[in-house]
Order: sequence, then structure tokens, then C-alpha cells
Amino acid sequence: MSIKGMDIFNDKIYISDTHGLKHSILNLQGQLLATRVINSTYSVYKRFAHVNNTFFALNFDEEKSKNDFIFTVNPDSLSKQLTCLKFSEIKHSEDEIFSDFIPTFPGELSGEDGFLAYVPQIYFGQIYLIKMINNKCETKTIEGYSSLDFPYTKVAEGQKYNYSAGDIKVQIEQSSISAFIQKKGKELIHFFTTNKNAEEPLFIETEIFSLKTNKSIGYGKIDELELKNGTKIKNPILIPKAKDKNDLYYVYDRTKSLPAIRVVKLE
Amino acid sequence: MQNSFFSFFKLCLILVSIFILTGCKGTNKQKPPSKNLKAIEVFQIGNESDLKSIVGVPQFIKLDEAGNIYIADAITLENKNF
Repeated sequence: MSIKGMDIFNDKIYISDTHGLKHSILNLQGQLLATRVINSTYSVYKRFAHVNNTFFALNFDEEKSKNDFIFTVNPDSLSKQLTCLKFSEIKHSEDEIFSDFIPTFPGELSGEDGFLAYVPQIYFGQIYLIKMINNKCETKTIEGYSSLDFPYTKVAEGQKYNYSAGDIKVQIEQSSISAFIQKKGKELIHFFTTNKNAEEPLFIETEIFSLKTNKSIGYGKIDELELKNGTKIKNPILIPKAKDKNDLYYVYDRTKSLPAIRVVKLE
Repeated sequence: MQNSFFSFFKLCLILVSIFILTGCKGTNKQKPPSKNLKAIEVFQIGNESDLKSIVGVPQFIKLDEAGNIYIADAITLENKNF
């Protein structure tokens, strides 16, 4: 099994499996409730997420309909319902490397307080925000601060790289990690990294937007981790993977050689 | 002489205005206000060595409505439920 997408919605765990070519639905005890067999890896959904009672999936099906990129799905049959974001609506969707990497490194979806946020992993500086209004999708593009003119460099054979898709090797210099809605729908926070070469230390950068104006209200990095025992660690490598309703972040801490999962508040 | 000076002055004024209205204003390159964040640990899930042997690199961390935490790595035979 290779878990490509996962979400918990209405007390069920939804998993997409690109190697086993299936979508699976489990109960919260881990028992399998249903499996939908898929006949092509292109058709396996790459991400799941939900907002209130609407269940979403992301896929880039090069064989059938690559324009149905983010869409609502029926939570029982997992069939497509309403397309909310077409691939062609994404800025730089015509960039060859970007579209080659999307099926493997699509970026993260997250939903809360009426908003679904999506950021492609190769980060050109755009964040897509979807809101359901009267059973229709309203999609907005938020312009983030992208310090680089271009987020990746093609790498020649023998040179160091951080991502590959097939024979193509690239150094992705600006990479999105995740984005979450915080402060009860008032703000969006985006976590990303800027890494011009593989030798540079990794910093977790953040940008915060007001969802009232869709404008940036802060840009910086996570510059310190204070552990429960009082130890302070400078420039920690914390990968935010989830957030709860109290704005606590569930982070994968890669600062040391032994990884840890910590629950942190950000201030 | 005076006319050519004023023409030159007008040209400079136009160029400065264009610079202010386009290049100087920029689009997404205008740096937002600086705001670094500090992470304060509330608790840790599992201990480090346990976690390494149990889940490897966690691909997904998800919460249910009750706040239970579900962790899955990218390649696994079963889901880990803490």
C-alpha cells in the first residue's frame, strides 16, 4: 500500500492508494468498510479534504480529464460531483516541469471554517482558496510573497537535486509545505521553504494573510522551538502536518536525527 | 534652450511617474511586514525512538472530531492509531 491521500470525514477514514490502485474507506477502529478499485494510477485521487459537509478530492488525470483538478465527491461512491478548480486555472499550469511534478508532488489541501486552501508544492507564490456558496464553488487566488523569481532549477546529470519525477531531476528552491485556516476563519497561514541549493540549511518560512482582505499581514520564519522542559532550539525544522480547532499545530520535528511529533502553539 | 530644458524636465517627470506606478509598486514582490514565529511545545506524541520504529516518516497526521490523532506514513501495511 502507498498512501497518497488521507482524510477523516464523518467518522470514516478515507485513503487513496496509488500502488494498490484503490480508494479505501475505514471506520475509526481501522476496519475496512469499502474499497473502490481504480484501473489506472492516473485516476487515483491524490488528496482528500473536507469543509463542513462537503468532501473534496484533488487529482490530475492526464488520461481522462486533467481539468477536473479539485472537485467535490460523493463520500459514499467517491464519484466526482462539482469541479471547483480546473488545472488550467492554476497560474503556471502550462509550465512543463510544474505539470510533470503535480501528480507526484501535488501540494496540500486543507479545510476549516468554510474555506478550502490549496497550495501547489512547487510554489510560484499563489495560494488558492475555495469557498462553497449555495452549492457553488467560489475560488480566489491569493498572491503570496515569493522571494525568488522562479521556484526551481533543472539539474544536470551528476549534480545534487532534491526532487525527481521520472528522468527529470530538479532542485525545487521554493516548496510549499502546508496551509491552514486559523483564528476561526480570520487568517490563513502558509508554511514553505526556500532552499536555493541542497547544501543550505533549511528554514521553515511562514506567511500570514487576512481572509478579510486576502492580503499578507506577516512574513517570517519559525525561528525558535521551546520544548516543554524549557530547552530552546534555534531555527527548528518543524513540518506542520495538521492543526486542531484551538490552533495547535501537529508538527513533524526533523531538527534532530531522531524525529519527533510535537504539538505546538505558534506565537 | 529654455524650451528644451522644460521638455527634458517633463520627460524625466513622466519616466519617474511610470517607475512609481509600475516597477516600484511591484506585484507579489512587495515584502510584507516581518513577523517571525516561536513554536512552544504543548506535548510530544510518543517518544523519539518509538516513533522512528513505529511510523518512520509521517506522511499524514489527521484528527477526528473527538480530537483523536491518526498518523500514517507514506508506505505502510496498516494505519497507526495513537
